Amino acid sequence: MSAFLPLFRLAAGQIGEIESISGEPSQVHRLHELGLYQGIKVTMIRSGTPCVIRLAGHKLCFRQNDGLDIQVRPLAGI
Amino acid sequence: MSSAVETRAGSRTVTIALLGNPNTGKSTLFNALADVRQHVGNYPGVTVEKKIGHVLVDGQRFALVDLPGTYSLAPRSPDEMVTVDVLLGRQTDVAAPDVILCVVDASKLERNLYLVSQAIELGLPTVVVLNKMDVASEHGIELDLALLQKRLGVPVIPLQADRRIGLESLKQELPQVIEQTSIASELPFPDAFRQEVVRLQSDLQDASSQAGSGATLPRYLVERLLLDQGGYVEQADLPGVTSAVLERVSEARARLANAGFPVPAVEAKTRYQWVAQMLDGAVVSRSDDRITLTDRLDQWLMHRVWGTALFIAVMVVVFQSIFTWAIPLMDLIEKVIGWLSGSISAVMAEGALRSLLADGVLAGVGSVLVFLPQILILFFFIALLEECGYMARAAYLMDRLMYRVGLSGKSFIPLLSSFACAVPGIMSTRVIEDRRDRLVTILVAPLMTCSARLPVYTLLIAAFIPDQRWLGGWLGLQGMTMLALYLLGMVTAVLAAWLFKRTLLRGQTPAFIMELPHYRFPSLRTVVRRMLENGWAFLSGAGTLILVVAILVWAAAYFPHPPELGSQVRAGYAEQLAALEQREQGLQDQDDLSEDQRQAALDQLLEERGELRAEISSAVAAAYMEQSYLARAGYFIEPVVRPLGWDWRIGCAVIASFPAREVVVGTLGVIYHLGEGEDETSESLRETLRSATWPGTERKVFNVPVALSLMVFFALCAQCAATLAIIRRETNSWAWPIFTFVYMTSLAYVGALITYQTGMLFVGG
Ligand SMILES: Nc1nc2c(ncn2[C@@H]2O[C@H](COP(=O)(O)OP(=O)(O)O)[C@@H](O)[C@H]2O)c(=O)[nH]1
Repeated sequence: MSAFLPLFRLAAGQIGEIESISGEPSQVHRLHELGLYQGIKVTMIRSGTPCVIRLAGHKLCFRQNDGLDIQVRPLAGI
Repeated sequence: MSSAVETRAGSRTVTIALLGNPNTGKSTLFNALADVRQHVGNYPGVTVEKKIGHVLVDGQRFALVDLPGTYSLAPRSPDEMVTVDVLLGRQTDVAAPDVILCVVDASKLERNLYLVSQAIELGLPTVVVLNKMDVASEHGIELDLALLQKRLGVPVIPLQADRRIGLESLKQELPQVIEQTSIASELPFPDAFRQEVVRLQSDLQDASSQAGSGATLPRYLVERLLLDQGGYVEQADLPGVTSAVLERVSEARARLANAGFPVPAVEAKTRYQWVAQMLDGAVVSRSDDRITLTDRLDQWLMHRVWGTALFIAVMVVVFQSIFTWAIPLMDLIEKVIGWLSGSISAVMAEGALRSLLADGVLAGVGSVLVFLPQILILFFFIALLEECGYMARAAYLMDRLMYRVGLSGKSFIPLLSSFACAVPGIMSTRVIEDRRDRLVTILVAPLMTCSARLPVYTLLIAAFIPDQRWLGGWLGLQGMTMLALYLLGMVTAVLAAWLFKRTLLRGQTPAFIMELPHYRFPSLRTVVRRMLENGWAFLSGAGTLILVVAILVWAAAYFPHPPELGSQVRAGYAEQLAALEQREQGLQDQDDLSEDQRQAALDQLLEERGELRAEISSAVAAAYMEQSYLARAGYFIEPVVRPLGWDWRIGCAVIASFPAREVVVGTLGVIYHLGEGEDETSESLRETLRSATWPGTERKVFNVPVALSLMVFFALCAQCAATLAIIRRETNSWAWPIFTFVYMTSLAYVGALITYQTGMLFVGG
């Protein structure tokens, strides 16, 4: 089993630690500015497109575009 | 300087720039601080609003410059560049700021301090305002303010802007800040990065002195040039940024990547590392992952089924309110305007001035004011839903649907609002951060069937669509036609949005990220303020333009107005009038009548005379209309509109309705000899339209295909000066309103052409 999976594959309630974000540099940069960067933990609240995640204490609605790849390391669920 | 309020000798106005992430309460603070507010339009060439306020503290004048909310000072577009330029004093139309007031959300410090880390690099005296302290403590976040202030090296002031708590201590702090010279700690960028910045700085210096300008780029922009791959700084045509230098930049990036500091990741890493240092020990947060009331509400409100059902219910209530409150208000405005213009006609002598006032100016003012009820009511609800935190949930729920069209959930409310009126719809697109999405939404919003199209549809459907019913009266042909016209607008909008996203406004859709704020009880004061702000924005931004257009169209319909024409037309009726006189005389002379009989006969005569007078005045109005410049334009375009089945009079009415669609109903009234003041429910107007014939023939002008082609035209055209004026205001350019007019009119023409030509195959005329 691979240790990483794409962010959107997290199940509702599952926590993941961001391992890598790749894609077009300015897009990746923007995610960094919004608080999505390597090492940060996200909780999936509602899966699907768009999904709802919790990040550093606040909730975000998030829809990834095709050019981006966000890999997370799944941690324990709630 | 002439100002008497400056008590301190030689003191000048200190400029403060307000910076902050979106939704941190920056506007709330701006409004709470500023005694005098000023919207001075947009910054040149961009859609960013220039908002300036003034405040007086201890005799010292401060000017507040509100900047658009942003997560970062890494510009990606001309709009975002404005913020950076204002802060660096490079924007020539505002004073260079002396102080930066950085508003941060105390409950989201980690992300908010990212922006602070960039702000303090600009080298200006800075104050950090910790807003929403109430939310922070609600979340169990405890802050050691003294420690944070010491670490950051700049004043830190706690605040609750919406309740004005802490405002006074902020004001007291301001005069001292100006004295502050030393600024905060350096950011822990790796040495390799600093060296590259120094190197690039000298490269830029060389390039710019070679070009003979000698202008230097601020260090902050040099850093940006290095960090922002594909960012706006690369294309902004800055001094010294030549293609040779850009090559150096990519070499530098390659070296950094080799050294283990790839761009742009190095920025995030460094800044968040700095943020962690600042916050370590200064912030104690209990548990982040408590289930809050918001979470519990979201389980229902964001639920695919229940949430969507509730959303639909909310929208029904909103639109029901618009119809029950706005329509009577609009009718009232129209009545008052009608009464005023009636009074003017009664007291003034006939002539160009009277007509200008009554039919030009007043009608123009009316066509501006009539939008206000819908704008105010819609924005009341939009502000209410946004303030209580629901709007983001609505956008989440609708995102899936809108994504298919290539837009995001944030476009839904603006498009839905456009069913009432495109003007507030277009104004509400400001919440859409992505420039392309916002433009596409603006461009297709006028295709939604707004309430101004209803009078046109009502008139033509009642006159020409047979009242056939099926299923015991539940399903009617007239209702179906109305529905079809609504669908036509919607489907066209979807197709147009899809097309624009793939052609004109092509580009990679950025990932869509939207904060879901905590639910809270809305403050009525803020809701009302935002409602009034939008009403004012419409009046000041579009009002004058609409008025001018209305007066121009009036002039076209009035002039050249040769005075003898009226008497000529009247002369044609002289015989009929004389006959009436004679009959009256005869009645007087007849003595074999009882008093009652005589009275009855006199009443009858009086009525006939009234009718004849009305007929004469509509004939005069029509005669003037027929020789006006407007009619000449109508004749001129007749060859173009003939394939749509229209005669010159319809063409003329369509031109006259350029300021506002609904005007077409009144113009058709005048042009078909009915006089003014006919509305869409007038039976005589319907009758007249039905019996109108092509000049010199028995052939009817209107039949079902003609009526349909006219309705399709109005479904798709951009005959609304208010919409075009507001597009100009929101995009700060004439190009987009012109484009909107051209594309919609072309669509309307083609649509009407196909409708008429296909219709005639069935009717066989
Ligand atoms: N709880 C709380 N809410 C606030 C405070 N200040 C502003 N708000 C609310 O935060 C939201 C965003 O405020 P606004 O001024 O529009 O933010 P801007 O986007 O930064 O201009 C609004 O709903 C305000 O009513 C505060 O101190 N506490």
